[in-house]
Amino acid sequence: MLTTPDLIFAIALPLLLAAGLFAFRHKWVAPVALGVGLALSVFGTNGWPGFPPVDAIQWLGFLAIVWMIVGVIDSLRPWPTIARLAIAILVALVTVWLISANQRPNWSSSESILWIGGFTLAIFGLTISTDRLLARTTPGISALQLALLAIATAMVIAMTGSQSLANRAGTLAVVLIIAFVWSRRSQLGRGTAIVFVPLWAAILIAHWLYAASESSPLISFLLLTITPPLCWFGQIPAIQRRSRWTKWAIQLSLVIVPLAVAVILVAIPFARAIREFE
Amino acid sequence: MKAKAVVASALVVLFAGVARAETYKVDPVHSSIITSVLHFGAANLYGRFTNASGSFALHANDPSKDSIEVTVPTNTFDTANAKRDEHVKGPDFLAAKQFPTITFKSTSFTQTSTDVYDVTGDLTLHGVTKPITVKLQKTGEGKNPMNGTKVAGLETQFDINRSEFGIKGMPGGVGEKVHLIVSLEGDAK
Repeated sequence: MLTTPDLIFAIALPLLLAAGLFAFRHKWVAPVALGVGLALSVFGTNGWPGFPPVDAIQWLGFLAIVWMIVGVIDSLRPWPTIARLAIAILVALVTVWLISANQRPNWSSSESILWIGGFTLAIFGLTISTDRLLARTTPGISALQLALLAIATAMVIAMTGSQSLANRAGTLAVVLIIAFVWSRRSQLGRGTAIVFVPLWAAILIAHWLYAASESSPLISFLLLTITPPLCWFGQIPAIQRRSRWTKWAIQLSLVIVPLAVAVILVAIPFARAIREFE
Repeated sequence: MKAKAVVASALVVLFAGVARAETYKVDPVHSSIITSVLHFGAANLYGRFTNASGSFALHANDPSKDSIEVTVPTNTFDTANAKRDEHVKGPDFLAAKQFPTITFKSTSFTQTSTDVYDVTGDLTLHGVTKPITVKLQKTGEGKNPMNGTKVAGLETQFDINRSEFGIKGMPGGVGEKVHLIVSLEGDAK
C-alpha cells in the first residue's frame, strides 16, 4: 500500500525532477535524476537517519548522493579505462560493505569473504556490462529495459516482505520511465550505469539480507540479476539486421520473459496467502 | 564476650533483613507481551512477542534497589497472519534481521503505593535506545506446586511512538502510537 508520503517522495517528486532534468540535453541528467530521485525517496519518507545510520538500509540515501557525484564526473570527463574499472570495483565494494553492515557480524570470516566478494564481483560485472550496453543500444530501448527491470524488482520485493524497499526500486523505475519518454532528447549515457546498477543492486541485496523470507524463491532473485546481461543478446548481428519494430520486440522480450517469470514465481504464493487470509 | 556475640548476631540479622532480595528468572512460557496499534485509523490490531527472557530482583525492605532486565527476540512477533508477520518483521517495521532483540534495563525503581512502582529504564528497540518510565505493578506471588519454587508476577502497560525508535514504515496506514502490555512471571533463582 502506498501512503501519501510514499506517493509524494517516492513517486511524484522524483518524477517531476526527472521530467525537468531530462528536458535538457546534458550528459549529466541521468545520474542526477537517479541519484537525487532515490535520495528524495529515502530521506523524504524516512527522515534524516543520523550519520552513520544504525539501520544499514538507510545507507541507500547516502550512497545515492555519492554515486550520483561519481556518475556526473564520469559523464562530463570520462576516465581512462583502468581508472573506470578501479572506480567501478570500489563503488561495488563500498556498496556491499555498507549495505551488509548489520549482517556482517553474523558472518564467519569465510562467509564474509564469500558474500562480500560475490556481491562485489556481481555488481562490478553488471556495472561494466550495463555501461557498455548503454553505449551501444538505442536510448529508448535501454531506458525501457532498465525501467522494466526496476518495476519487476519493485514487484518481487513488495510481495516478499518490504514495501519501503519496493518503493525505492519504484523510484528508479519512475526516473527510467521518464528517461524513456524523453529518449528522443536525452539519453542514458556514461555515468548512468555506475549510479543505477549499484543502487538497484543495493536494494536487492538489502532485501535479500534483511527482508526476504525463507519462502522467497531464490530463482526470482537470480532471474532479476541475470536480466541485464541477457540484454546483450539483442546485440547479435542477426537481430540488429531486423526491422526496427522486430528488433524492439526481440530486445524487449529478452527482458520481459525472465522478469515475468520472476514476478509470477512470487505472485503465486503471495496470491495464495492473500486468499487464505480472506 | 557474650555481649559482643549478641551484638554481632543482631547485626547479622539486621543486615540480612536489609539486603533480603529475591531474584527471579523470567519464565518465557508464562510471560506475555502484547502489542496493539491502530490500523487505517480504524481498529486496533493486536500482536504478541514470545520467548521473553531476563530477570528481576525485588527487595522487600528497599524497593529502590529493585531491578529488571528483559530481552525479547524480535523474530517471535506474531499476529496470526504469516504474510503480515513477514512484513512487520521486515525492514519496514521491526527489522528483525538487523535488530534481533528488544531489551529493557531498569535504571531506577520508585515505589508509589503498595506493589506499584515507577520504573525508569532504557528501552532498546530497532537499534535505538531511549529512556522510558513505566508504571509497574507487582500482580502477585505464589508457589509452583510442581517444584515448590517461589514465583512472582509483574505487569505494565505503556505507549511508545514508533518513529522515535526509527520505525517509520507505512505512516498514516499504521498508527504512530504502539500500546504494549507486558506481563512477566518469574521463578525465584
